[in-house]
Amino acid sequence: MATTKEELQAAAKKLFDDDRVDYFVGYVEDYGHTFPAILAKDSDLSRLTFDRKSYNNLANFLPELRGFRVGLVCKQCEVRTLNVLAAEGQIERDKLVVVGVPCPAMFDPRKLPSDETDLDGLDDSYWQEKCRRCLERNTPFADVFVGERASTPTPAEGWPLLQEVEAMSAEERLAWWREQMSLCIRCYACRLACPLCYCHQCFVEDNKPQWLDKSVGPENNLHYHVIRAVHLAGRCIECQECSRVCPVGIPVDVLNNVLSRDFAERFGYAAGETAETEPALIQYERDDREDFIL
Amino acid sequence: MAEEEKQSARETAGPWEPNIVGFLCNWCSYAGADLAGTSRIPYPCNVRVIRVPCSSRVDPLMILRAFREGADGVLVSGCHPGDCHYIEGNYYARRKLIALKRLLDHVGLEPCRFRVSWVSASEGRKWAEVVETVTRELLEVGPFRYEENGDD
Repeated sequence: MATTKEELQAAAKKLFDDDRVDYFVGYVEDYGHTFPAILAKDSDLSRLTFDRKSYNNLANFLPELRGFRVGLVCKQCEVRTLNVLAAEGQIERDKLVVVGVPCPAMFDPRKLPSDETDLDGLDDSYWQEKCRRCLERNTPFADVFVGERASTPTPAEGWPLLQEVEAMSAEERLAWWREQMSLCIRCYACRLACPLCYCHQCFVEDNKPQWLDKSVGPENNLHYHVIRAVHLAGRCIECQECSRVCPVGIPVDVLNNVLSRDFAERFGYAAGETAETEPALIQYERDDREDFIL
Repeated sequence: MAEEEKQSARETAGPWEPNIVGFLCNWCSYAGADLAGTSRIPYPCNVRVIRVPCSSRVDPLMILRAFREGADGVLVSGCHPGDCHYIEGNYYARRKLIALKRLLDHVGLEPCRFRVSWVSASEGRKWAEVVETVTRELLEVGPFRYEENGDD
C-alpha cells in the first residue's frame, strides 16, 4: 500500500502545482484513523492515504463543492455515485479530476477485531458486504490512476441479510422491522452519509404540510426510512454508507437493496452502471409489468 | 375515555368498518366513481375520496400520511395506461407506486393495505367492483395499527 499512498500524494501535489484543482478530496490518516478530508493547496498533503479503512463515500462532498475544481479520490463506490450525480446534473464533469485508486476492498468496522494489529492477514469475512459483490476494483474513467491495478474479483451473489429477512413470514418481518425501527433515534446520520441525499430541504423538515412527526416512534421512523428508500429508488448505488454510520446499527440499506433488486428484475436496471444511465423513476416503458395493479 | 365508555361507543358504532382513503385521478377514476353513483350502482361506502389531478400527483408521502392518520387501507386509482390526460403521467406513477408497494410488502404490511387500480371514466361498474374487493379484503385483515401499544 505504501506505493499507492506515495503516488497518491504525488498526484495530489501535481494537481495543485499544475493549478488543475482548487480542492482535493481524499482520505487522511491521523490519530490512528482514516477519515475523509477536503484539502487545499496549502494543506499538508503528506497525511493523504488510501487504505482498507477508507470507508466514506467521498462523492458526498461534491454537491457542497459545486463551482470549484475538485480532485476526487475514487474507488468503485464513488464511480457509480458520480454516474448518478452526473445524470442528475449535480456535478460538472469538466471541473472534476477523477483520481482512480485500486480498491483492496474495505473492512467492516463492526467485524474488525478490537486489536487491529495485523489487518493485512484478515480474509474476506471481515470485508464489508458490498465489497464481496464488487464487480470492478479499478476506477474505469480515471483521469489519473495511482497504484497498481487490482485483480478482478469473483463477485458474491445477493445480500445475505436481505435473503434472511425475506425468508421470514410477513408477520415476522413486521415484527423484525418494528423492532429495528424502535431503535432508530432519527439522528439522520444515514441521510448525511448518503451521497445521493443532497436535497437542500428534506421532507422530514417540512412544516407545511408536516409529513412526519419530529418525535421518534416505530411508525414515524419506519415512514422516514421507507420514504428515504423511495427517494433513492433507482438511484441507490448500494455503498452501504447509511448502515455503516448508523449509531444503533439498523441495517438501513436492506430497504434500498429490496428496491435495487426489484428494479433489476423488473426493469433490467442498475443505478449508476454507466454515465448514461438515467434514474429509473424519470423514465418508463409502456409495457412495464403491472402485476400489482388491481 | 373510560373503558366502559369506549366499549359502549364501539357498540353504538356497530361492527368495525375499514377506513379507506382513495386517491382518484380527476379525469378517469373520479369520473368513473361519479358514474357509479349516477348509475345507482350500490357499493360499500368505505372509501373517502381525495381528488387529484393525476395518479402521478400522488406522492408516497401522502399514502403513508394517510396510514398514520388512521386509514386502514389506501387505494390509488388513475387512467388506464395510454389514456392519461397528461399523456404519460400514469406511466411515471406506475414506477413510483411499485417502489412504495414493494417496500410496504417487505416491511410486513398486508398487500391489501395499499392497492392501485386503473378505472376509466366509463367504468362505473369496475369502480364498484374495485371498492368491493378492497373493502372485503380489509374486513378480513382488520384494523391497521402499526405501533403495538398505540393509544386509541
